[in-house]
Amino acid sequence: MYQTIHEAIAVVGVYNHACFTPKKFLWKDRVYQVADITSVTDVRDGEVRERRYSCVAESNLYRLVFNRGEETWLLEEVWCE
Amino acid sequence: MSSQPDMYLHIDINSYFATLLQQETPALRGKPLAVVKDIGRTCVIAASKEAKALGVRTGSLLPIVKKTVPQIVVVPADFALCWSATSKLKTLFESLSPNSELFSLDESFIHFTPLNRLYESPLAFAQKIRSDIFTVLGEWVTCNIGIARTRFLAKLASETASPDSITEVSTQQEAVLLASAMCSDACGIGHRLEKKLAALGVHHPYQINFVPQVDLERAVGLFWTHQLRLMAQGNEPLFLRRLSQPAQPMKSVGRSITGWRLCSSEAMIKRTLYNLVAEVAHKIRRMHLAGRQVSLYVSGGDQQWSNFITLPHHVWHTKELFYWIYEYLYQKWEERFPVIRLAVRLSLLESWGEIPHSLLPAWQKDEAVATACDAISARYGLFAVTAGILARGHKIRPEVTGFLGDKQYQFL
Repeated sequence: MYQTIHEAIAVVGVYNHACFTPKKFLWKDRVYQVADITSVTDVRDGEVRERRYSCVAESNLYRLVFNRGEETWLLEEVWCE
Repeated sequence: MSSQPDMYLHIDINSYFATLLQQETPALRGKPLAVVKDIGRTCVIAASKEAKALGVRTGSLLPIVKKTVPQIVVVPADFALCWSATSKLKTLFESLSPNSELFSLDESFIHFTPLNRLYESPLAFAQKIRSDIFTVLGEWVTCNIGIARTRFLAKLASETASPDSITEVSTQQEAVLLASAMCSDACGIGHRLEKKLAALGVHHPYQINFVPQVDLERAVGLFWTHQLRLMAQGNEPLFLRRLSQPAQPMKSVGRSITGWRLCSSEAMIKRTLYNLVAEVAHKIRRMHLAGRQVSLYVSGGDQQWSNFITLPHHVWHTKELFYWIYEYLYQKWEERFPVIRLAVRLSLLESWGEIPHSLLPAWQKDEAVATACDAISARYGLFAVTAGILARGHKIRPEVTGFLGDKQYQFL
């Protein structure tokens, strides 16, 4: 089940063919290396556009949400068994 | 000119809602999943391949599933995930062919004939599609692809094949497919039609060929007799032929909700009705439509009640639609019972451009308010501004359905 976190994070990644790929993120003074991205979901409500990256880091799954209008990153949820 | 017969591909993603969740969350892969609309709900709206293998079906009741399959993992549906994946699939298919048609949330048809110089064979094209889906949606997502002379046969082929397969049906194999598939597998034969055909001893589409005309007409009527005869020959019934025609404007927009438990609270029912009306009004206003027929349906336990009114004028304001739903129709409901399901609908839709606007000052004021709200919703999202009745608490938001009945709105 996903546990809601909803906290601001910093994300480092690469642009490849106009597509951003997160490589690591900083949350609570700790850096998490992204091992795999399992899904990228675009969400739109009005002009509010968000892109949700589901990232595997240290064997856990994290949902990182990028607000494309405000250019902010949130750690939205984390998977807990 | 090529003398080759037409060829269609039907692409169907296996166990869509569940597979996408498994793709996103590796911990769920390989496990039997029952997808419910929300945690606490008891109706299974989708099952993973693993759950289907254990007998779990869409529509199963969770308490029964938990008894028969104790290891079942229950997860809530993620409509945003599904809608995003459908948008990606649509983009992918449109990049491969100008003749692709989205049939439902997870199904598409592609007319192969115009592409036959670009690909060695329909099978080679199908393999490319499968590989592209893998790239776009992920390695866990599999699909069935049916290839045949008509959309009807292509869909029947993919429906009856085992998961993650490509099935090509040659002209010689059509009769075998029609004779071996069950009527319930055939696109267009729903539960009621299936029962009527079973009463005639028909269980496979091919058997329809042998039913006397008079018997078939008596059982299913003239229209369906003609459609079933087409299907029995592997030809396309009307609703599949219409896919290649320009989309017709929507004739009605509705919204329903099934609650968690029976509800007798007038305040809760009023709020819920307003929420449903607000969504319907938002959709018709975005499509620049207005309707004249307002319907309300309520049910609870084994009781149900419905009513409608056909107005002499068109409605396209939330305030007025809510008046007809709540103040007029709902108040006519006399023998009240606790409800679990509420549904509202606005029908006989026409384009704004074809409707004279009212000159009454009160209507003009409502229109000015609605236009301002539209502008705010377009910028900040639905319900960014709404009536006070919805200001606090949970709001029912638009959802995509598997059938994708409101695709004209969704792709605006």
